Amino acid sequence: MSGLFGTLDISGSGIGAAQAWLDTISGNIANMDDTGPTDEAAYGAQAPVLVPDASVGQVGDGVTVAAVVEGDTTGTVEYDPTNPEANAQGEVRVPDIQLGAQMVNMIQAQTDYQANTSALADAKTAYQSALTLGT
Amino acid sequence: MIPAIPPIQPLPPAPTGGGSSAAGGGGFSQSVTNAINQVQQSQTTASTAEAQAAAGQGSVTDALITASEASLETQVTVALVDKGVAAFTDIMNMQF
Repeated sequence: MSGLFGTLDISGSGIGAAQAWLDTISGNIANMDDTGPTDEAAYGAQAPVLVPDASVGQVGDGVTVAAVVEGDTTGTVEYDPTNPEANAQGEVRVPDIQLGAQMVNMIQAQTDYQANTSALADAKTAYQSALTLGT
Repeated sequence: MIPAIPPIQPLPPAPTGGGSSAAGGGGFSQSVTNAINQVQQSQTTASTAEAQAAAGQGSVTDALITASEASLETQVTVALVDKGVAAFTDIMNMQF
């Protein structure tokens, strides 16, 4: 993109990374109550791997999502005999995802998003104030 | 004793305008044309990004950021052109 406004591109990459993080948290919360047979792996909590991206901007580095890693798929075994996927002992495997931990992550991701938005807005104001130098 | 006044040094050569002389007669108009083309290009990029975001492909943030960049670029170009034209008008209004 344009090299003239590097800060906007860098903040934009930060917003994208925060968005990816929010997406994985939403997925984790949505799949929190998944159940499965005890002989299969449970849903593993996902998280994005964020790495610096020097191709964005000129002086600073942007950020990019290198990969999405999956957490522990061991899960926990629960007693739920009415579940159609339960084994002979009436047990099912459920993901080991704590709603509280996910909500704390979501607050962090949201703050991350807001911080990048704020940096972008400030950079825009700075660029515009530079234009008033000539008047 | 009053020290002798040192001789006046010759003036350094006047700096040549960066690019305008090398542009081969184009000068200001060539610079403005290039800048307008650049603005046109970034606005096309912004339009494409907005269309993609509206169609559900690409991200809304990307569309808004490219739109912001196009807007800022337009403002920069307009400010520079206004300054250039103002300088030209100032010279045209010179009274001898």
